[in-house]
Amino acid sequence: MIISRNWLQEYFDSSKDGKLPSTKELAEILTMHSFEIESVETLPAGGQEKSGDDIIDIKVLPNRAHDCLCHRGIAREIATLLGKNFVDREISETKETEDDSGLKVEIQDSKLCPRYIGRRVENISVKDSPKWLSEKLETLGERSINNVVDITNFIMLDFGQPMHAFDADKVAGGIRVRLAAKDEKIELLDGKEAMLDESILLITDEKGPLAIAGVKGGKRAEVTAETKNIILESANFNPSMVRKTSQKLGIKNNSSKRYENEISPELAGLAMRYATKLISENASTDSTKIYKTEDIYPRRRNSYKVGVSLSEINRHLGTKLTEKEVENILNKTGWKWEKVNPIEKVKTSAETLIGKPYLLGASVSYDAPEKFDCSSFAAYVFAQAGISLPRMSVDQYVYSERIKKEELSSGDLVFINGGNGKIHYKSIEWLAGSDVPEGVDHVGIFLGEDKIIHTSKTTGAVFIEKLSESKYFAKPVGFGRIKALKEERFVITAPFERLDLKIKVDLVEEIGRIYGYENIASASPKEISTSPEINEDFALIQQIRSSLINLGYSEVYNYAFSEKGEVEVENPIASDKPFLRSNLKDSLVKSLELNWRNAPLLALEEVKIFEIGTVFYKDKEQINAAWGIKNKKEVKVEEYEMFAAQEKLTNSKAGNRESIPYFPRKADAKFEPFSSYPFILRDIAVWTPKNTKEAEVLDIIVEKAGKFLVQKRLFDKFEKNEKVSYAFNLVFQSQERTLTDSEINEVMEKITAALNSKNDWQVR
Amino acid sequence: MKNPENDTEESNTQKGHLHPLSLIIADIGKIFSEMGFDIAKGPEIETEYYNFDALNVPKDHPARDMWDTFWIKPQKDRKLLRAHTSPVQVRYMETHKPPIRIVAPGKCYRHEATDATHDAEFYQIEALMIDKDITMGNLIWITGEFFSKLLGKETKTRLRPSYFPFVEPGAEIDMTCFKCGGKGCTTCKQAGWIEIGGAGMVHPNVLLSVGINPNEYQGFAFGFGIGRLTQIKYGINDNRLFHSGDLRLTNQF
Repeated sequence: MIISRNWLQEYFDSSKDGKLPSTKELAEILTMHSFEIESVETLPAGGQEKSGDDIIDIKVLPNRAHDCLCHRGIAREIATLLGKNFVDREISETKETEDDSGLKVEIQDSKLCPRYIGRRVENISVKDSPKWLSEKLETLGERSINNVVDITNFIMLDFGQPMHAFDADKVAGGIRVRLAAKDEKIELLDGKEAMLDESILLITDEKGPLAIAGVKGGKRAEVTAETKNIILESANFNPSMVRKTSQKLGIKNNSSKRYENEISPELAGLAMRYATKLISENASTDSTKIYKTEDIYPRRRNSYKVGVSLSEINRHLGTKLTEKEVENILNKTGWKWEKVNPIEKVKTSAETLIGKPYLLGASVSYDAPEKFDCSSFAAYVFAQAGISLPRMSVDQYVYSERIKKEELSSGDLVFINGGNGKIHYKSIEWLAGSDVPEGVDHVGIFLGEDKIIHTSKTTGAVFIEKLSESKYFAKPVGFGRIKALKEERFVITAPFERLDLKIKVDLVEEIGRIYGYENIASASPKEISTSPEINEDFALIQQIRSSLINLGYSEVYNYAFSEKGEVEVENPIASDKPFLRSNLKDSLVKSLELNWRNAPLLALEEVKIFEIGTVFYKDKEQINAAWGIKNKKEVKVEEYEMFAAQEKLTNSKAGNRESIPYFPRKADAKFEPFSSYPFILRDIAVWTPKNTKEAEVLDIIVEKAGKFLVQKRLFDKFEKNEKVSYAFNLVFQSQERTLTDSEINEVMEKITAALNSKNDWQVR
Repeated sequence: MKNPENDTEESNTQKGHLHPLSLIIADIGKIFSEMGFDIAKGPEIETEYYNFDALNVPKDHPARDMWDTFWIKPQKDRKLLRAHTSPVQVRYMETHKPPIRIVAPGKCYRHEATDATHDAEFYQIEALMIDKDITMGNLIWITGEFFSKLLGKETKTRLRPSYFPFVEPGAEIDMTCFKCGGKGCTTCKQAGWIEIGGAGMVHPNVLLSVGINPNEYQGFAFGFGIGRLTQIKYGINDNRLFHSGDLRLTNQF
């Protein structure tokens, strides 16, 4: 997300206290508490015309893409981290006409489009944007188009809500949000045509597609300089549907990115109000008419309540935070929060719901607190106490700790198998598949003093009765206790933008990162008494390595992608290597050739290499070991599955898999980049007096050879007539260029002359 | 504990050379086994379930974009080349009960453009520790110990917030820049730190997917690229050399 510092500053008092720290400091604080900073760029001030700015590229990952792909979200985050006062946009209501706009909006499937707000605005003036607006967009690298389009883009970058504007005169009849028909087509804003299918959601009118929902607008109802009347759209679309459409059509943009990451439908309302205000301020004429919105929002979600106790925070982070410290952190966030005694909270919230009607399969997020079934009632009531229970009674049974009837106290759960309807004998969500042989289909909450509260089809509503007299609970199958009830909890109401705050550990993270990971003390874990178990495969592989290096083989790694094989990759990175190798040999042979060409450089008489790696067959993969030799006489390669390889190398079937060998290595080994230029190989042989040492000869050679001599190897030595002959391979190479024969001839002449100048030495 | 760097006695019998990645993998195995970790392994061709679903990375979720994945033909089988070593966590927890301490070195594949520090075939190591009371503080301790043992005492590590769907809280592991030691230079873009891996407390959904009760057990996981560490430790300028089959690399070690 590209963020302008000047834009951010608008969310803080312009007074001294609200001034943001230096961009460098800001970047550091964000890095250590919230987000990685990809880059910071300073835009210089351009005289009177243009104020300077810092452009900060912030890496917002999917968990915060709900709320932080916009300036408002980042500003809120900074307000929390700096403990500064967040000043939200002032969105005064714009004066609306009481007339009927005649705009009709219809949604085919509210799962794909949870909310659609349309608003007709008449007699506006489409023109260039005011300077403040075009400058804002251009600073972030966006193109300014006209005042109306720019306002929608501005709101997306400010609030994170994509918006769209249609030319109302080019829209025929009402707006219908529906799936495309097979072979339907749309001409997009950029003039390209997109082929649609039944998986793609459209905004349409009587004539056909107007836009691809959440992804791209169509050409037909584009807002142009001639446009007088518009329909503003602020909508919410299903994230995975937008993602699939965007992938299918290969269109990724600011809008699809925000929708595929999921944004709250609540945001659409806020954005529409803001857009209307800005249109009225920047695009209105004397006769502008703003109609009321058409807001289709069939299911509105409850705010999430999430809770955590002090000990849970410290138990995860390994900190010793005090209640006071946690309270200070929560106060900085600006969230609505309270500290609750969970048992009390469960009791009071449960009792206030007496009489609420029963609905089988009622949703905790949408139907509560108006309608409940037995388990949604329990889940909702516990959520008020900051405890997230699984949704279904059988899962609540597995989730809770078994207690005896005599232990029953306020806040405990009582379960029965009512014998009718669907009885669950296994858990569904919580530790899925756990056996519940007694079967569970109903739950009630014990409130102490023989009182139980629950709801069922029979009671028809939330109902309180005496447990001892309840027909329903005459034969309970078990009693459950929720451990978290015993400690005070911090319970927050997650702001609607924060779709990432759902469970306890989400709050642990918030508190941990605001506190600062760098402030968490390092602590060694308690020792585990068991000694580590040896992984046989790993031990075996290391033993094969050990055997092979002891036999003089050196190790190479080759790529698994290959020209041929049994297993093919759908999307290879190189079209000539779409397969996974089915042997190591083929590439090992190539490595032998490569290294044989470099044998003089490596001072090798023969090349001996091996590789251990995975090979892939149609129905399985296995680890093979292959080793090979290349010298003047032969090329030989062997390859075995790793167990067979070990047998072959040690002549023993058993093998020792009880210990893992460790390999000695050079201390402080450092890699020296090798030259990519060809080397030149020369031989030199010299007769010397009988007692001459190899080193004496080499010293002279090295001295005269100069900087291009990169390798030297004695390849022959013999004595004859009181004389000894030494013969060396000399390898010359430059890091910077290709050496010429003639310059090396000169070097060789120097060496020859130097050797010949010694008494009784003679270059052969 | 002995520092592997000090084990330098040259053996007369050693004739061949080991690949630098193998040396680092051996070091990692040694350091972790001395801290009581088992080594675990898993297949390179994985199912979508182990690579994503069981790790709380749902289908059609933008988090999937964090891993550019190679799919195996036919795509309807939903098999892939593992994009990280994290599937090993899941496989191991399916067959072992806590307390758990494992490291899993292994090869991974990502459909990414290659350059001096990225390759489509690369190596990762995953560490996982689960018990009743394992904390972020323990994670900080273990990562600190490991990196200072592998790269020298002067190497410091830190955690900063990040996001991976299979952990919560999530973190990125940084280590002090190997070039400047933390003062700030071009390699670390003046930050003094370089990003080396991901970490966090195992997400309750991951524990639930393997039948471990997150109200009873908790712990951390972390993972990082072995290639990058090997490049840092030995000053290898281009990671594509690793798979070159070239002794001009191997024989320097």
